[in-house]
Amino acid sequence: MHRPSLLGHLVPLIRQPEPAATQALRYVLEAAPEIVAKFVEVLTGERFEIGRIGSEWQFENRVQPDLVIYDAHGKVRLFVENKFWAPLTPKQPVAYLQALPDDGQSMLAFIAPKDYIPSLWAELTERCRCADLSVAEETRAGASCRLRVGDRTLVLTNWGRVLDVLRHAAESGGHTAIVQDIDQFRGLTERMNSGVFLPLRGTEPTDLRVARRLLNYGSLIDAIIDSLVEAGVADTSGLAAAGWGRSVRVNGFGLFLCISLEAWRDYGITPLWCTTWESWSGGGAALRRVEGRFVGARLDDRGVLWTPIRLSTGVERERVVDDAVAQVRHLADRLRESSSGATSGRRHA
Amino acid sequence: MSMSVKMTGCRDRLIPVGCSRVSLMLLGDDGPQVSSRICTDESKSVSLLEHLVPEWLPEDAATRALAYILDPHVSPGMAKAFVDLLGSAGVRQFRLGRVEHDPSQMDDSRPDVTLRDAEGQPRVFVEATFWNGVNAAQPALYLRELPIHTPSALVFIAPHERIPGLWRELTARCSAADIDLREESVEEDGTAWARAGARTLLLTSWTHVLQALCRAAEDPAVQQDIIQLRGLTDRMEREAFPPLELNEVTDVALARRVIDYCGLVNKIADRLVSDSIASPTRKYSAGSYRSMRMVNRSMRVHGQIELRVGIELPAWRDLGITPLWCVLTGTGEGDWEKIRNRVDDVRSYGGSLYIPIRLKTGVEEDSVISDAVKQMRSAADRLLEASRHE
Repeated sequence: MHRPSLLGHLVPLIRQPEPAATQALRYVLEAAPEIVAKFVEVLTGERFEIGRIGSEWQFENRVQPDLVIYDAHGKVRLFVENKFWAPLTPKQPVAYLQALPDDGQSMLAFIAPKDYIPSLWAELTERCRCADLSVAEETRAGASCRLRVGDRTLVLTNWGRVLDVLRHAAESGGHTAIVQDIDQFRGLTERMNSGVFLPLRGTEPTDLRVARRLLNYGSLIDAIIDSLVEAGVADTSGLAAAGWGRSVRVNGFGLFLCISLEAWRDYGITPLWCTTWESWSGGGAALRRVEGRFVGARLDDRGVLWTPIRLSTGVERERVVDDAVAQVRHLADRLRESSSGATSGRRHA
Repeated sequence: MSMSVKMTGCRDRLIPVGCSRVSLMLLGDDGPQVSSRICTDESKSVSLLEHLVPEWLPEDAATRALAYILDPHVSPGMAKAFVDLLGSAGVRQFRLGRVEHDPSQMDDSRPDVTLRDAEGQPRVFVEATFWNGVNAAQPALYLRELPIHTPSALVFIAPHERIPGLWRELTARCSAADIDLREESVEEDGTAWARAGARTLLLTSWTHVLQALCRAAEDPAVQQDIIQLRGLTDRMEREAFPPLELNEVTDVALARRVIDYCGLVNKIADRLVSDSIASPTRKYSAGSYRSMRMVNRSMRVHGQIELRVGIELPAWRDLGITPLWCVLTGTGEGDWEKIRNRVDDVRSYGGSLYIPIRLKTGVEEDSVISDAVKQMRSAADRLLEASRHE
């Protein structure tokens, strides 16, 4: 097993890694002007005269970015949010973007583990769209994803990329001690991205809310399928429940509705997924067409289409079920269209 | 003044006997069903009512229990205390008449409990719910059945965590039915209310109601009944489906952690086998949403004691402690006492004996596994001793 750096070993044992990363990043950025200049350049793609670096200051709507970078005129140019595996808070990214100046120069940047980028980016962009923000076409350059949102920019990049740049800047400037600090810091970020077991924290194992939620999610499977059957659009004859999922036939297409921890971990979005595969659903070409029409849907290398069933938040269970039923029906309708070659080209939001 | 509680049908489970005080009993076809096998958990007291009510009956049982407690013939002063509880929403006391509850009509068309005034007018409708959906008549039709000019209230009682979502649903339905709600307010205890003319729509929690009734109850027998009902409502609050929050459903860290727990089950089981403490009896099982288990491994320890090690979600939810449990699968109830005498930390739950596998915090995975295996080894040795003393 790869040996983690001392920081990578110690931090997860003694404290929450995200605040530690924020402190570490600020410490490195403040070590030398050329390092922070490179950091800003890699995130924004621009060079400007940097004023100060702040952290944990509150902006409008109680927005409290991890780091704030000002230009030499005292204008806010950059909010930085450091993530390992924590979910977005309800205010991220919309309220954060709205708290930035709308002068065309400001940016909200998230830094996250490489493996978290796909699901995090899907969630960030989805939230911007759902909030009816003016969203331009997204761009991807190297390890970074960018989205122009009105007069502000949203960017997401990974820790490895950021630390490579910082290390290079520190090395070029002859800051040997900082290079070592960055290597230690990298050890922490690699540990957090490695997928290996992270030490359990205080009350984690006794948090019975997790158990209740998993049971809640499981209870949705029968409720959704029973509702589809009652509506006369689905049947389950000859099909059985298996593990944390149950098969159902909708519009004649076989679907498997399941709680998938792996899909939830890898793609984010939701614990509830609807899967189908070529032999059940009209062939690979049809599945590829459907994949392109559902935000967050993925066709894996075994030819299984994974479609997220989004769970409505802040509403009663009945509404959650009704909304999920509508999504499954929508998926089955698109499968029917795609297998008959009809496509409307509209993406399901 | 005529006061009565209508409880029809010989199969009613909560039966007031005349006007005398009786303890809350569950009756079936064969009379009182008080099992001698009731085994309360050491770490968590389970009320008799909670224990006896079958899973498909809780709303029905809770409604009947509440009606029984509010019955002025059986528990004098409780209905008045209930109306007092509505005072914060401006619902004043009135001269109490009948308290009605008709179990034969516990359907969508009638409120669960009706408190009438001395003139026979309905003054308070009570709807008791846990997490069932809101029926078509709720709340608009019920509100319209209350008097137009006399102050009155439609009271929903629900799990505390359900209040925000249910309140949104109730007010949205009023709006859709052209009922103009005003003076909407949310109290510190979470109680939400709003007024439609002289009628008040109010939503409060089981916890709040039962605490207030318990405070008001002077008769220890009534207090006991309330405590019994509290046991049931607490269980239902635990089992509720509170509205989801956005950062919950997108929480990949949680998914990772549950996958970690699944990994621990396998690694602990493998270590037990490689250390010759256990031998596998069946193949690995991924569990299922219907069994409410996640990964579990069946094995025989010391060649004779059959058990299952895995993630037992109901035990985790109800007992806390840990997601990982060892469940004794081949042990009859006749052996429980011996096992309880020899094995620390064993709990009876859901008809089996459960031993928690505590997960060490703040350490690396290897230490978590070693510590869990140590706990299992100790439990296995004790189980062996218990089996030798038969």
